[in-house]
Amino acid sequence: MFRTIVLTLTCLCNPRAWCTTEPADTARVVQLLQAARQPSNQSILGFIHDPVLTAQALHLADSIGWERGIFRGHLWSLFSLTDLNFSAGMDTWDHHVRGATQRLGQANDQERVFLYRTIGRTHVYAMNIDTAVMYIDSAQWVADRSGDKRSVALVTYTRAHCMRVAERWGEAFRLSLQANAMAEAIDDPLLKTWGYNLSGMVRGRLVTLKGP
Amino acid sequence: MKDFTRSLALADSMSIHFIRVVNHMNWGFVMQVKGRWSEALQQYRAVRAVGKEASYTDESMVLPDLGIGHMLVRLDSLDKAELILRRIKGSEALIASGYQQEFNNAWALLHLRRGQFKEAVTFARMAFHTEQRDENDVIKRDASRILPKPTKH
Repeated sequence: MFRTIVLTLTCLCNPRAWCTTEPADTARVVQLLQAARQPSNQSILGFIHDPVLTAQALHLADSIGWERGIFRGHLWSLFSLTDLNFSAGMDTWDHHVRGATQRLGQANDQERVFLYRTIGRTHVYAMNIDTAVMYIDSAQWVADRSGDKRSVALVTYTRAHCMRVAERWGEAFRLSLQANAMAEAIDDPLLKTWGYNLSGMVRGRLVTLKGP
Repeated sequence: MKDFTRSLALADSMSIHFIRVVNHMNWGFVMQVKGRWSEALQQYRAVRAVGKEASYTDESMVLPDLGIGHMLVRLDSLDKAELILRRIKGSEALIASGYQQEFNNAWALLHLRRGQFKEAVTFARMAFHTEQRDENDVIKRDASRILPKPTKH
């Protein structure tokens, strides 16, 4: 009886409990996030994200204070920003990076790999190679621990691409061949397509610059 | 080129236009670095063809256009080359691409071939001294090969 009173008082004293987190609301967020993600071979991840539905999901999750929903809303937003070539600008990007990284505790292994990999890849394009490598290392660590072979292959490909942008051709070549072997082992056509393209470029650039 | 062929076959089978574009661009660039101008031109034209098929905008095709223009200079089709290069010269799309020094080399070479040495030197110098997004080793190599020629005159 006493425990029930304490529990009731604890709940009443918690301002979060005053907001009615109806299961229907969280279900609606999940529904919006699912609708926002569409399978697609236009992205190496295997899906693309609708920015409007993602924004609606994030807004709703935020209004009900559902942390898992907020995390996924920010993550989806980062995906859609990269899909759309950062057209929304880097301030928006930073906002979503903050939103997602502050809630890393809400992420599962795959989401963590994708988050680190997406941030790392953006730093590659901005030519912040050292920072990019740091994020790719984090992605690698989570991917290795998760045992998910596709995640490991994806991160290896990303690292190879990073080395290619940094014009470290030897490392890029070794890593791209490694990524290709992994993609072949799991027979992933999307990873193979991107991987062969990268190894082709790196192989071509490995020759001397003697040229014509 | 086995890697590019395999990647293209997969991208074609899945109709992934973006990878097809990246693939032909990379293939073209590798041929360009090796001095195989006709093969490079063929690849850059293939990018254009994919772009047309996928209804890409002209702005998004600035790099294949630059490649085509540059290779036409190399192959001595100077009038055709100038038409293309003049269209993209100073364009926002070219500046945003981050590969302006590649353009400056092509422009310098065009003027060198026409005997307009002053302009050739100006643009080759700019290409040699200014960093671009990447592939700076190729840019500097090409610029350094253009520079001594007009300065002799």
